[in-house]
Amino acid sequence: MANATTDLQQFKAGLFENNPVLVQLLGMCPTLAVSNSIENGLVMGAAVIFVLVMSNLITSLLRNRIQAHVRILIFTLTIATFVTIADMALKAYVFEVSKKLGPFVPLIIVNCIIICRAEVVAIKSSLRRSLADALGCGIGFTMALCILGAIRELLGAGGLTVFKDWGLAWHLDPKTFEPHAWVIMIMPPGAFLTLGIVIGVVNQYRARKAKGGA
Amino acid sequence: MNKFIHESWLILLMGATFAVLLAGAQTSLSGRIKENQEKALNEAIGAVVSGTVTTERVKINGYDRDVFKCLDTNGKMTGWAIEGVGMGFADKIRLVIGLGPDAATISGLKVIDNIETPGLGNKIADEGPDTFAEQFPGLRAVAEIAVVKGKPDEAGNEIQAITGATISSDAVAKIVNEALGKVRAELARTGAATGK
Repeated sequence: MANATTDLQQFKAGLFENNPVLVQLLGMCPTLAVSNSIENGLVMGAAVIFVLVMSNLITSLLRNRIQAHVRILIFTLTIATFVTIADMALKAYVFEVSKKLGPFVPLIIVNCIIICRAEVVAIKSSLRRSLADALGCGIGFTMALCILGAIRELLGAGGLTVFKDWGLAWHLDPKTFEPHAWVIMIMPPGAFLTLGIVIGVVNQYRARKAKGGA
Repeated sequence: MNKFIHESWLILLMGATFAVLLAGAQTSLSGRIKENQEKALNEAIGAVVSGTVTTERVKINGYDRDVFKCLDTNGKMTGWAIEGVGMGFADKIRLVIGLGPDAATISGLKVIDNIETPGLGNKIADEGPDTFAEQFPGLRAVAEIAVVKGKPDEAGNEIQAITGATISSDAVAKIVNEALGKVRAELARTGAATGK
């Protein structure tokens, strides 16, 4: 990310070669906890994108006025405010999903991805660069959560449900699927298994790419 | 003093600004959040006591959860709805039990809040035919409900546990038994006096 030269590269870095979850291994707690369905991943991702964008923008805007030794305090203050707003918005507009996410939305406050982006990028970059970085990392986080969620939900529940009210759902017939369900996939061990395998695949791909490039 | 202001003015200013922002969000969203919660509760009551249009909160001595007297459009009593809360496998389960006007039979059961294991325990909240909750209508409210693993006995007050989710199934039965144990005597008395 130090050698990213344009805003677009900064944005893409968050999506792929610097993906916060699959490459930097940040934010493992929410990743493991809420990746049991694609819908949870999407809503959690949206909340994180919102908080990340607001935190990066405010940090970048004030970067010349923030005293170095109180910067963490300012980051936390900013993040906590927008997490609270996001939590209330979820309860007001996607009530059912917010019940499932439970305490993991308020816990975005201590999500290390957000504080990391403020510290690494926003505190010393322009507004545009910070925004590009927030969107890249936020969407990268959401993508990782959705990939894990989709794998776990398919194997464990036999289909995908995205916002049932909008009719976006597809499921195998439960009667045929249920005897073969890998229920463990939607339970906590499934999170570790899936995350390990996906990170393994990503590492394999990166190692191969690095070799090919050299 | 100058040093203090010099170092902290930004934090004080941000704190004040954020407080205003939060107050704004709270004011504009809290109505909707409350509406969502009430809507979820009312829908659950409508599902467990059919024909219900309006409800009245009733206070039952010795029971600190909500109990509702359910009425239809003409003010005729349709039954009772009782809120029950108890510990499940993962966290608290909150549900509504529907009873007939005489408080002798269960007319329905609906789980409102649960974060039981997806695919296993959370089947307690499934709706529709052949679901766990569908076993409750018709059970006697005057006796304890027992959870069995095999096929439930027609004559007994029994329900069949969800395969792989015995703890969640037992938890629901326990919540129902405890709630009914505390309210059934008084409901039967009030129901007999006013329900006719």
